[in-house]
Amino acid sequence: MIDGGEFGAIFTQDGVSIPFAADYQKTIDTRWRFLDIHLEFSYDITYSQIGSGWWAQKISDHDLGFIPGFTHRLTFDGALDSNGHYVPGNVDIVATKNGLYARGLMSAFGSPTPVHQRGFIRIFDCDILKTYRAPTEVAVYGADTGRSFGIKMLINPSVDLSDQDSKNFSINTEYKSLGIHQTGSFITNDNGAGAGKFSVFHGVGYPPTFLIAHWETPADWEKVNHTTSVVPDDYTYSLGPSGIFAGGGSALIKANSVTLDVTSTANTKYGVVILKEPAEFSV
Amino acid sequence: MSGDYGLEFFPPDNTRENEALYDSRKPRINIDLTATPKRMDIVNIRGGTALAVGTVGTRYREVLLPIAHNLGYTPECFVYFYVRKYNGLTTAPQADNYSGDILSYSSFIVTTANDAIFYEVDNKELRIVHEIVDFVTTGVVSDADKYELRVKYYISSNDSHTTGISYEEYV
Repeated sequence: MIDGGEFGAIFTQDGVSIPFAADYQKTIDTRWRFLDIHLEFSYDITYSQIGSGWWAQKISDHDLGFIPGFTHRLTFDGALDSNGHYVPGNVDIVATKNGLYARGLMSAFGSPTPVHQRGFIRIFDCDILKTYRAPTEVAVYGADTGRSFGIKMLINPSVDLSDQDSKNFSINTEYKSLGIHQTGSFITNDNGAGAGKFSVFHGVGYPPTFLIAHWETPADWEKVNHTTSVVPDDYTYSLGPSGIFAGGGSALIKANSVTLDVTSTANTKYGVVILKEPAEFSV
Repeated sequence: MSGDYGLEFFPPDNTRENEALYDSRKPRINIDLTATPKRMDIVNIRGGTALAVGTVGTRYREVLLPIAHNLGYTPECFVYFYVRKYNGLTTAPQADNYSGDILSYSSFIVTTANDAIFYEVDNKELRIVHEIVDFVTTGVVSDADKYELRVKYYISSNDSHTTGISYEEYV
């Protein structure tokens, strides 16, 4: 039993005793959610089209039933043709509740050169648009134990407990997994000058680190591009710490011990993941 | 059991498969707390030096902070830049802002130069880099030395499956 009738397990960082541990000093708290990896894969797409226009290609199913957070790393971006017509990089990767899509625009001035792109995608078992907040425990300052406790459980029987590869362990409290404090969807308001802001109350007690993604509905996209959306459902772009967003746009981000404030273009939608890790305290 | 071992924790009165609160068998973004140098830390640094553009179109760069990881592959990383002070002031418009991956200095001032701090990582180390480039004129001088930054970085043990990651293209 942890506290108040709850059941689970807590492990803290080396030398920190549980009664004095803040959330950011824990390596496992089984009451939390973590950035669990649902699926990770490399993709390699080509797309050819006669004429111009928007296109989309489904590159994977994920079967989660909600719009998940994901990261995307580009490993190869098709080359310009000899006339320099095809603009590489003009391909967005977006996630719907059913799968991942690549979406691009074939220019009217383009050549028949196919789009060719390779990359690596990591999909998290995390509905970043769903309102969620984990329990919070703020540190009570006191003496550290100065003693080390932990747990290791091998998942690969061909190695021993001294192995240093985290993939070989089901549990290894010498590693920290990124715990999720809060998720939710937010829309910037309109201050009348084209800009807007939203504030997320997190109450974690310190300025936290965070991941953020731009999300859209087909109607949002159609309003800007004046054509029918080629992605059939609501979707998010990739998740990251940057104020420069995949899919376009940027934001100014501030955080304190109580709120995370995002200033960007008015009426723009974001999914936010606030992590248990602080941006301000040493670990 | 399919040969893997771990721990699952369920909510009270619910042990339905796939509804565990915690399942240790699920892979996660992990950071090694025992590694040296640290794979997760907060460091205070100056934003760079007053690099001057001498040749139009040339990138002038300085590596401010190299952090070895020696994982042998390019890890997934997250880096946050927080502006503590600009020109000694916590009240300047540049101060008290976060930016992940890359922080543009030139977005705060009217200049023809692109001036920024960002991170790059390969299979050996993470580097915090300051860079300025101007495509119009020479003589532009970076004001990176006026920035006092706090940098939070995570070097995970998860492979990014790339040969390297850099945000230089956004400078």
